[in-house]
Amino acid sequence: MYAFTSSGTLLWTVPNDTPQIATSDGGVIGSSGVEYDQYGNADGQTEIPSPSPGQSSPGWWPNWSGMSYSVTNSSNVQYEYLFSNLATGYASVAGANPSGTGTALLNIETDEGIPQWRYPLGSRDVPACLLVGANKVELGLGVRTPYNEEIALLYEEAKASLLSRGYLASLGCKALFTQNPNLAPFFNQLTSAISNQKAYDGLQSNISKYDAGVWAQQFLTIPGELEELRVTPVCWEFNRILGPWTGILAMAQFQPPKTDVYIWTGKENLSLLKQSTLLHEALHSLTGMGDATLYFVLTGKPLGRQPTHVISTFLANNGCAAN
Amino acid sequence: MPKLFRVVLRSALTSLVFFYGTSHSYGNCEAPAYREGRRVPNSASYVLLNISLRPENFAREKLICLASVLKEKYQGPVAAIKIFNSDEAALNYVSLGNEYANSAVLWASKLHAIYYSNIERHEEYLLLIPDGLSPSLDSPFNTRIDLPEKRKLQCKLQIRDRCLIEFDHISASKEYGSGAVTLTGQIMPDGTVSEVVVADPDANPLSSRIAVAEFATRNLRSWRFEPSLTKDEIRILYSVKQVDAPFEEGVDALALTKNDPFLLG
Repeated sequence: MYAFTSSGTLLWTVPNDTPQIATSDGGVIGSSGVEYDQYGNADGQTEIPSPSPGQSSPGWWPNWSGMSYSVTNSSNVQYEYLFSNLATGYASVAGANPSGTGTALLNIETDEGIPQWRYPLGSRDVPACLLVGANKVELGLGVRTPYNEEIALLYEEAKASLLSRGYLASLGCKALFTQNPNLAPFFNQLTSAISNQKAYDGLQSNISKYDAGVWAQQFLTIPGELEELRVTPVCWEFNRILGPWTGILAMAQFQPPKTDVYIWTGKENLSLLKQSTLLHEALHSLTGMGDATLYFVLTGKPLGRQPTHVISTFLANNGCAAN
Repeated sequence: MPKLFRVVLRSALTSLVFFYGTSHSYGNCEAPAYREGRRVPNSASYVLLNISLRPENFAREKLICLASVLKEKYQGPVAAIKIFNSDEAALNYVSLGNEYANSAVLWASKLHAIYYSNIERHEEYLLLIPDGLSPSLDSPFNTRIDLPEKRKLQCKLQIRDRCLIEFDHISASKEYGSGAVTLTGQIMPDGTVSEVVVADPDANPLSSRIAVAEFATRNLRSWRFEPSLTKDEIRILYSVKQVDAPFEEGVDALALTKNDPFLLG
């Protein structure tokens, strides 16, 4: 085992051991179970569970929740655990991440002993989004990012409340829809549209915008638009390579099955994601109207350069969702 | 039948006078200098690029010449090159899509032409887009110029052979009401419209008179035509009519000259 300074100077060596887990106090746990301090001095010994007869010791391995485990009997799949207090940074465990796949993930901090893993940081501290792929990551799943789990909870709470508290059937909401001939046909579909809505993590979904169905038919008559939809991952809308996030909170699916919605899992949605956001997105899918048209149909005024969450605010102000 | 207005028709203007920056000679023509903006990555078989030109370079002959330069430089099975009149817009524009950030509307409004080629489909054309927020092929405002261009073409929107290159998107609140107003003005050599005056201030009921006149005046001032050596006087009946259709934004505007009806939106 070799330790280096950040400039590459050899710091210390320990023969016959292999680093497994870097700890938050600057030390390291070797595969032997010996704990070393930042100077390479052995200052502890974790007790490695006895292997089964005839099996070599597997040593300690990190897991995603910051514990270390060791297989005590591989045939019966029994484990023992201990807390490790992982170091922060890109190299807190052997194999670059607890699964040992070689993909370097950043442990940004420990929260009461639980590490928070992220992809290498970009300008907005979000997972990298470079190429079109096939990922549609359900909201709250995938790599743990700073806010995705909180936003998944917010989404679920908002959805449950919207469905259970009668907003969609309120007198104000009914009047808003039924007195408008362009919206009346959709009033009776609001509840099912919300019920069937499936939320995905916009930052982690690299499926193309075309395959995600987040486009309207009329866009295909714009020269080059079809090609751009095919090479643009959904996550670009939330994490652009050539610029910062531009303010889109959610993006609805316009093509069948018209149920998906991709959610921005950045900090701003902790305060901006509301019941009315879900309804706003459901209305896109139901009506096929983009933001500008939907706002005009709802309010009789042009959207212009207002932020599009004014649509959500308008729906809430008319009783269709909580404020 | 709307009142017709006298329009002095002049011979077609085929030569253009303003050249800026470094231009590109190509065959018998001089293509205007352009600046590259955002290019969509990940597109091995597509060239998806934004470029910008100075506003005075938006003219049929220059754009057709530029298309030859673009064709030679950006070769690929498909090329879609969006041409803006603002460097900042070319750097920042992304397709508006169904949902977009509010700043995106500003960038999109600066899009005034697209060069498109698709080798497999044997398509190559320029699309002139006066309203950047209506960039589709089937927009009634847009003029498609199939390349190579073989004949003297007309733009869908033009006055005295000067194509309308740019105007503000037509969108107004329902409270604006409907009405018509006659406006006079001058198309300047650089293509902008100046000295816009309401010629018949009493044409509409008082309730809609001011709003319609303000709306029409503001919109006409946003028009930009192809450059020319001359000033051209115009007299236009600008009609505003409320519509209530789910995919319209509430207003139709119709501008009429003697020979050229304009449906604006």
